[in-house]
Amino acid sequence: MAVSFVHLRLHTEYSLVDGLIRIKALVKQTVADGMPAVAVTDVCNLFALIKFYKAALGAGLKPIIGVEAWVRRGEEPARLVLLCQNLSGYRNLTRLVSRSFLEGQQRGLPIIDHGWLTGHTDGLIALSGGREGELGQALLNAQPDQAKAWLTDWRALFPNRFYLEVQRTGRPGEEAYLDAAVELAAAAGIPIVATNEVCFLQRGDFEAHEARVCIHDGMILNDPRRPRRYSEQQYLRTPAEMMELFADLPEALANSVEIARRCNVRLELGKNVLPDFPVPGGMDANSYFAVQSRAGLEHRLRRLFDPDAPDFAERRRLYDERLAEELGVIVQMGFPGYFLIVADFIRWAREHGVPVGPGRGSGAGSLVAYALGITDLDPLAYDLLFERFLNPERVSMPDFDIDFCMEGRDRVIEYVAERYGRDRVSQIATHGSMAAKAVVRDVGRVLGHPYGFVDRIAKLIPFEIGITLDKAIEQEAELRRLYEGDEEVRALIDLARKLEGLARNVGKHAGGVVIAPSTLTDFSPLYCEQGDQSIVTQFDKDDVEAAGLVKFDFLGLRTLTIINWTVQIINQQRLATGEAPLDIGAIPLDDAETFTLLKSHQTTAVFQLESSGMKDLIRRLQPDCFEDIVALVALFRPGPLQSGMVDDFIDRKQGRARIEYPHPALANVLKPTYGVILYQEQVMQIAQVLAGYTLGGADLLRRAMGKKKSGGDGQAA
Amino acid sequence: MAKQREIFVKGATERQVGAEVASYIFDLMEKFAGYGFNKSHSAAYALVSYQTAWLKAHHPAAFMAAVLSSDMDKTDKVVVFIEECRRMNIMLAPPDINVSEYRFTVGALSEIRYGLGAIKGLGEAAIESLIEERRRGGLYGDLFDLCQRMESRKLNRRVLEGLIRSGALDALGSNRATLAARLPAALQHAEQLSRNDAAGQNDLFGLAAAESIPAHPLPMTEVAEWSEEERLRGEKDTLGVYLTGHPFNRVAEEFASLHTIRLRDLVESSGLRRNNDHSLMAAGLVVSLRTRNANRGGRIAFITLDDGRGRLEVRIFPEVYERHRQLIAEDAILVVQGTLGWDEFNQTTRLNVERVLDLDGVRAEYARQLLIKLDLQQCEIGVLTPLARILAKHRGDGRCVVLVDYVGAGARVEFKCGSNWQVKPSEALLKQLRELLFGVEKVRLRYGISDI
Repeated sequence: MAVSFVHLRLHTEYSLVDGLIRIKALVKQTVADGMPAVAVTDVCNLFALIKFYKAALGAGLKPIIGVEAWVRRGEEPARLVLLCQNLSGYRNLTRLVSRSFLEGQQRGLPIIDHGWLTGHTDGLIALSGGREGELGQALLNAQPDQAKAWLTDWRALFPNRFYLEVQRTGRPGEEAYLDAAVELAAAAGIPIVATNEVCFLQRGDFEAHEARVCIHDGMILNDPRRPRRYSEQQYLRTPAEMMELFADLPEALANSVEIARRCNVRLELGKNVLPDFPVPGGMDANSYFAVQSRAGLEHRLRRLFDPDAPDFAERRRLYDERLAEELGVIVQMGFPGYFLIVADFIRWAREHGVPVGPGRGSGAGSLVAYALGITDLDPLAYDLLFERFLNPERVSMPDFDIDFCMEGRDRVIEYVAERYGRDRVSQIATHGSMAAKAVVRDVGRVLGHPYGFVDRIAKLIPFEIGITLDKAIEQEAELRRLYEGDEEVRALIDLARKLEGLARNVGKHAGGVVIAPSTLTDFSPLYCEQGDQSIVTQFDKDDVEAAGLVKFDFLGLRTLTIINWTVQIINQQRLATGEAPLDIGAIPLDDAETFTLLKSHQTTAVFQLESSGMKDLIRRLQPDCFEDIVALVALFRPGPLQSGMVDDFIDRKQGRARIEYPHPALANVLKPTYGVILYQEQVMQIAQVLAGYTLGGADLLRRAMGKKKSGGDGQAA
Repeated sequence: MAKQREIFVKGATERQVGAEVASYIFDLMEKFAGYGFNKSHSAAYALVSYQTAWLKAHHPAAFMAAVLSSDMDKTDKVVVFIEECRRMNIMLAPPDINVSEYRFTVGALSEIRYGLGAIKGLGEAAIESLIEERRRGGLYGDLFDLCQRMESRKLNRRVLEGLIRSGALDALGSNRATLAARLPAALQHAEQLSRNDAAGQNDLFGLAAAESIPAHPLPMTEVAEWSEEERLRGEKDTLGVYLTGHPFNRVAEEFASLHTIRLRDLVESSGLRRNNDHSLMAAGLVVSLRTRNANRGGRIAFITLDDGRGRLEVRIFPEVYERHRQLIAEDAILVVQGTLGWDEFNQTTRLNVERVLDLDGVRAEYARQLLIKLDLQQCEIGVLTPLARILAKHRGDGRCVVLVDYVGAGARVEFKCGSNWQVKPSEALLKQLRELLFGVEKVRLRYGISDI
């Protein structure tokens, strides 16, 4: 069957001001209705873009990228639909939308200044916006000359890419506008196109959609003075319905298909582009990286060992070899810039009194990271493997999650923005959704129920992460009783269910920062609150990475603040008595008093070791060296605790069971854990020592094994 | 995976490892790959654990002061850390307007000084300006001085009341009750002064007569200090903890003869942990209470008992909770009876509560002797008649024998009243007797525990 119609104007839930459509359901229904393409044109934003693009392609549907913008020439802004034909159009749209947030917000509404369009319409198709577009307003106000003059302007801005948009959704003024528009189109030789300004999928969703709009606008549903801007016909009409509706204007439908044909944006997703590190003195990044790493290692080695000792040369040989090996892999994978950027902001933080954590995740396995000061633990001393972090046989982005003292984290982010340019650095959006409790309160309000009534229902919803209305009704007998017995409660909850989980607002991701190699809008549209300087990407953290940006996690760790404050107190006292200040990085890791404290499990307030279950494990295990503390954290998880592994470990350590190795060759690998296989690194080393795997190959084997046991929780980061 | 095994075994046999051993080791690896932990992460984070442990071992006061400060807005955490300070024998000095900083600090005697930031209802801005003014103009002399130097916008009556109840103003007066009584006058005085200042500024020619205010207000009468109960409640409300005492103390001695187990012993008694038949009693103040729906229906309650030396969370299952729910409330002193068990899931000792008693309940059931101390002097001022009347009122179906320890002129005798004098030793009875005889120590309860 020939394609007869494509929806080119449609609001998803991400429009925030209206829109009830969830991406997945949209894709499903579009396919079911036999339409090969669909556009998403959220109000002034591209929040949903990546999700929509992926979902559509996944279902064999052509995604058309666009927005429904507000454009202002004089006083009042008017609507305009912009659709991307190609990548250049997508870039232009990204810039326009970003600019409307950064510079054009009025009463919370991001507005594109008409002047900005000049020179930035390449690759964009414009639909006139119907009744609420500039031309629509002029026509309805009986100013045909004005309309003609503006039309000339629009045609010049969008040559062969401007369409007069008409609708039949049962709203006032539509037919009058349509007649005038058709007349103008014929006279000026401009094509017309039909849209349905879709805001929900089914006709029956109209009431829920009205409720959503009321929640956003702070209105009450049955307030007679409330503006009625929507009609129940703004659902996803089928091509057949559209054909019947526009039987008199078949070209308006044909043009929708034509436009869909003209829009062909191919996004390259999943290819990350690293920013360049500004290398001083004309050196190339790779050699600068190597020089820095070697210098860093030199510094570390002189603190680890006595450089005048006869065995120094022998001892450092291992380190030099490992460094050379790692440098080779990092350069070959193209990540020197990443390492240099991370090392740079960590150095800045340390120099400016912002405490930095020793590195979380697998980064501590890299000697280069240790040499550059990114991590703070000698990986060779603890058998930490580089391949666990970067596997040359499985290319993936490196990921250092860096902990900072809560108090100083924002200063480091500020430094990064200064260093790489404010137009290249931003934080990342999160899209908040309507949670069970809040949606009940919101819906109760728009239904006009008294506060006490709504409060009583809302309070019955348990305070749990991930609670839904369905779960709440299942769990709470009282709520179920009300739901089943009270009509008003049932109506409220049923309506709330339809809105539950919809996108509600935009927030800021806790620690994520992106640093772009060029201006941010080459990768993601931007968002900010009106009057707020802090910019976030419109894409959330997964989408922003899919769009090619590299995310750096700046996490806040309270314990670092505690350590910092403690050291401050100590050093104040030491200053008074003329003692040298304490350097927490230089304390010996075999201190007897510390282990006495641990063995007596007096570990309240000691990081990671303070829970009562952990105290009991410590009491039984009696840790007496640093390796034992490493083991404690690894052992204290449901898997090891339930499998008997912990008891085995303790018995061996306490000498109640013999320390055995599955093969004599594994003695070195398994010695720190008394013969028990506790770490992923050990699994890798076994494959290396016993069966000749490369560590990269061993990492692949480990991943395969770990995946098979989906019940395991081995992945820490 | 079969293919991986083949590669592994082949590689291993090339290295002179037997195929069978290789396959066995492959099994082991497969098993542990599921549990295996990322050592890089574990090691890096272990370093942070080690550093905090090292600081706690070598600089306990500095460390705990930092820990307390970091969670000073979360009362439940502060309570735990203060408990830990007590256990570590770190002296904890109460908040003091003339000494405290915003955060917890360490004093010259290695005592931890309460931070003003931990007082509830006191905003950061108010604290900063208090400290700022102290640095600028020196220590605060008395309540009038404080009110005068702080603008009322920053330090209103409600905030000042909180400061008094927390003990932060103890240095500015003889006791908290007196400070509270003087507060209205001090505020009024400060307001008059600032009004006069303003008037003085507006009136260039000094024509408007200023109200006459004494430069130094007259000394005012002293008021008797609040009862211990009231003082402690004030601390609890403003600091979240009982700082200068513990409500449980007043019954601690009485319960000693009931042989309730000390909560701290219970927490640390992991030796007992698998002994399920060990029935025992524990007593304490309910410091927290939460309930949730049980899987099998009804509500399950978790209460934390505090006996001033230790804390224990006990779980009360629906049947038991339902039976005793009117007794179970925050700030109640309760005795719980049950057996000790090991909670496999949380890896802790658990007391499985079978029965909950409040003070009157436990006394009615287990108190065997009411010991009354009398002396000649008391008898001469005529306590015997009211004493008999009070005892008679509480006879009920009591099983508690009344013993009288009489000290006369040069003689002392202990005698047991007849069984028709047996009483029900309620809180009301004890209170009346203690009021009559002027002293807590004059009236004691003794328990018989053989029937437990």
